[in-house]
Parts: sequence; C-alpha cells; structure tokens
Amino acid sequence: MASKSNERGVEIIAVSIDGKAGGTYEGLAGTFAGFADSCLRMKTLPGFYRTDLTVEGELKGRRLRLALPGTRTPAELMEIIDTALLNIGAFPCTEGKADCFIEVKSVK
Amino acid sequence: MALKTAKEYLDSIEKMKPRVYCGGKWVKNLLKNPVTKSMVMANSAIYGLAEDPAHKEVMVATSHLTGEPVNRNLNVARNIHDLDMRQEMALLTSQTVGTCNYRCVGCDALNSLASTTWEMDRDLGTKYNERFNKWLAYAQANDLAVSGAITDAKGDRKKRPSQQDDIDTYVHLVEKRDDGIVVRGIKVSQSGAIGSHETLVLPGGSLKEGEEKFALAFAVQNSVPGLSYICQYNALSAEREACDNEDELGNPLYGQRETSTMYFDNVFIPWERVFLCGETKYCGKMVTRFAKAHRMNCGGACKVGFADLIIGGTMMAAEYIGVEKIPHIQEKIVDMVRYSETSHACAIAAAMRGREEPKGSGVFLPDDLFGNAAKLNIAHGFYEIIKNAGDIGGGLVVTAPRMKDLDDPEVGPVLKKAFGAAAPADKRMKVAKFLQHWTAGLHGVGTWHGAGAPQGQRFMFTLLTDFEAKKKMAKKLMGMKEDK
Repeated sequence: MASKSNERGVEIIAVSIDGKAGGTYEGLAGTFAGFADSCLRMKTLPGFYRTDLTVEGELKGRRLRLALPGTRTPAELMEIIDTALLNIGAFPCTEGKADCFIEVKSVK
Repeated sequence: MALKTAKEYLDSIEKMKPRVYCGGKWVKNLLKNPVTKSMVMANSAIYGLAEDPAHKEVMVATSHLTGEPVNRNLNVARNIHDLDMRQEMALLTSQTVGTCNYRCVGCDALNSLASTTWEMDRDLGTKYNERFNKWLAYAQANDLAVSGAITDAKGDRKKRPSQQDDIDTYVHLVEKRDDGIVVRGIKVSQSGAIGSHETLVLPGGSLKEGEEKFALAFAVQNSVPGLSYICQYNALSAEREACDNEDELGNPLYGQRETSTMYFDNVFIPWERVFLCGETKYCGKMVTRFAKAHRMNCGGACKVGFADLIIGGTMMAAEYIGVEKIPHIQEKIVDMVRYSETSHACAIAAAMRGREEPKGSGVFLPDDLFGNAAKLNIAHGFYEIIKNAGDIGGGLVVTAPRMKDLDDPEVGPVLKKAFGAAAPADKRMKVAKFLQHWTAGLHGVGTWHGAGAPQGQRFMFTLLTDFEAKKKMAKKLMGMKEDK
C-alpha cells in the first residue's frame, strides 16, 4: 500500500524537538516511509552511519518517535534531523498541512 | 524553484553525506577530497551553463508536466527539436568541462522510463507512468542532479543472473513490503553518482521469465542507509591527491571521468520510487530505449566535444614547435576532424529521424541505426584522434617534467632551454600535459565502453539493417532474377 500523498505526489513532514515545533519539510511521497525504515530497520539516520549515530525509534501510523543517544541541545538535534531529511530528499517548506510527524528527543 | 544555480547545487552537495570510499579512505565531505571535488565541480559547471543566456536554448527546456522551465537534463523529449537540443547539450557540456556531464545518463534513463512506463501502463494497467511522472515533477521542481545506474557487476558471463554463485552481482529484489521494496546487489562504472542527488537504476539487460527478481527500475536518493559508493582509483586519482597545485593537471578543475561501484546492501525503496518490479518482458525495451538515446548523445555528441578539445590542443602543440604548416601534420588534423564530425553528423541524423515511441506516448527517441552508427564510429575514431594527438604532440606528451619544475632555480633554466621552441617552455609543457590527459588517460577505453561496447552496436546493426532489401536492389540492377 502506497503511503498517503497529495495530488502532486508529495508529503509534508513536520518535525518537533522535545515537544516544540522544529521545522516542516516536503518530500516525494514515500520519503517518510524511507526515513522511518532507516531509523527502525537500519538503526541510523540518512546521511549518518551506524558508527556515527545509532537511533531508536517507534512508529505509530504516520508518527515516528525518535530517541537520539547523548545529551544534545534542541538546536543540535534539529541540525541532525535537518541533515538527515535533506539526505533522504526532503527540503524545507513553508506551505501545506503536515501529514507525517517526526518527534525527536535525546536520551543519555 | 525550477532552475538551481551552480552555487545552489554546490550548497546542496555540501549537506549531502553519501557513504563514499575513495583511494583507501571514507570521504566525509565530497568537496574536501580533491578527487571527488573534481566531479562535483564539473556538475556545478553544468548547472552554471543553464544560467547563461547564451546557452538557454540548449540547456533549458519546458516541462511537459508543468509548463515550467526546467534543466534539459531533466526533460523528456517531446519532439525532434528536443532531441536535437539534447545532443547539442552533450556537445556543449563536453566542450565546457572536458569530462562527463554527470547528469547525462540520468537524462537518457528518464527518457527511457517515460516511454516504457507509459507502454507498461497501457498494456498491463499498472500505474508506473503516473508514479514516474510524479517523481519527475518533483525532480524538476527541485532541479535535482540525477545520475543513472545501468551496468550490473554481472559475474560469470556464461551464467544467467539467477545462476551466479553470488547473485549480488546483479541488483535484485530481496523483499516486497506494503510500503516499498528492499533491494541488494552491485552496479558498476556509475559516472558521477556520488555527487548526484538521486540515481535512476534500470535493469542491465533483457531478462527472461523466471528472472523477475532482477527486473527492477527505481529512483534512489544518494545518501540512503545501505547504499555505498566505492570510487575508481588510478594514476590520475593519485596524481590529483598528491599534487599541491591542481593547475598543473591535464584538466585542472574538472579532472578525469569519475565513476564508482554502487553497492546496495538491503536498501529500502518506497513504492513511489519504483517504476518496474518483476515485469521481465519490458526490461529489454527499457534498456534498448536508454541505449538508443545514450548512443546518440554519448557517442555522437559528448565525445565530439572531447575531440574538439583534443584537436584544439593538438593544433597548439603543432604551432608551438613550428610544424603547423607541414602537409602531413595538416592531413592528420583534418583526419581528426573527419572522425569527429562524421560522428556528430550521425547524432544529428539520429535526432532528425527520431520518432515517437511508442505511438501515443508523446515521448520522442532518436533513430536507432544512426545513434548506433554515431557510437560505433566514435569508438574507433576516438583512438585515431588520440593517436594523432600523440603523434603531433610528440614524446613530450608523456615525457614532460612537472610544470612546477620550471620554477626550480637549478633545473628550471635547463627546462626552459630544453622545451622552449616557437613558444616558451611553459606553454609547450601545459599543452603536453593537456594532451597527456586525453591520450594516456581514461578516455580511450571510456569511449570504447561508454554507452555499450562496440559489439553491442554491431549486433544492433545486424538487427536493424534490412540486408535482404539490399540484396534485392543489387540483383535488380544486375538483372539477376530472384531465386525461386
């Protein structure tokens, strides 16, 4: 089953860091599924490698909860997620209603 | 944003983190490694051409999906003019960077996909074309650099893909899931994949019933987990790494042609990026349509741009030693032009005789016979061209000391005395290094195999030529009766 997409075939991904809005991204439909697969099956973020950064995550519907190891500030976490989303082909956007959600926090 | 500037492309690549191995180490930043940087700089120059009003007609097209201006590297040819401008783009980009337009294979791959997915949807009722068009609109809107991956590692050539001891020698399906597929395997000799935003992956050849797991076409982002690139490495790579001044190299900014081996280690591809999955019957068509586009462009235009550069360098080499008016030198240079321009003529003919394929698809592809003629002609002609460049350039092409040695207080004056002729030593040595890049580098074998080795074109000639019709014409003129 293909993931939800709008007429243009894109999906809007909203990122929150420690419960606060972090940014909104647009990617081709399927981008969120790719991002989730990376985190859950490959245990890493796009553009990062297991040796650099291991992640733990939980997927519920179109909502992905991520835990990144190490103590990081919200700005540092957002920078990591921004890089990861760019590396899977999602670009910052300002228009459109989000249909996918990534919630990020750091864990010690 | 419909058209990226060169700077915007470079900024986007700065943030990309593909898993790239080059010359014994992992490359963390493509722009910090001198070898990978040359590939990225070449791609940025291609973006730059589209910004130049002088090249707009060639480099910019109108999207048939949105009506917006798009880089021609992301355009689906919809008429003869598009085909003609496509081959002119291959000429212009080669003349400009002296190496690959690293978006070229992706361009020809997407034209094949536009044609073949349309046919599959018509015949099978699939939704591949709709999916492909959404991907293409997204690629156009973001002006993505898209490379193409066609050639599988192939293993033992006597065996079919499924008979290989290690089937990873072919990219294949591992798992079908609700949200996409998981693939693994190896594609080789992939030009510029490292510095592209995405790569279009096509089957490497025709497939038979029972080989469905190898029948795959998809688009993959360049930094997805599980995808690694192992770069080519050779004497020119080592030279670029070791030198402290790239101006001394044969192609200072853009380098040689950079390729990599792409290893897909259980990579997930969402369905939205899958354009063929299991339909073996259409693999041959997909590859053939790619090849007919690529042979026109790679064979009859790209290498002609290279030839223009080599001919220019060779003329300079002749002038610098005062032999430019000697008849046999002029004859050899004329031969270089002849090899080159006959190939370009074939490319222009392939574009002019192009046609919609399949009927109703709206996609135009070049004429197969002329495209194959362009490639086969340049495969042989290019060796003649570099032979003549080496002949006229002289032994200095491979015996010259470093340019930097001219500045040495002890040996510099000796070198200036040795190599000064009708032009100063530094000019002669610069041109010698330039010709060394072409004659003693990668481009001979690269031209031979790029877009398929000549045996492939010969095979196509036997398929496409109506030999019976030719015999019939000859018999008629001879007054010979038809055999009963």
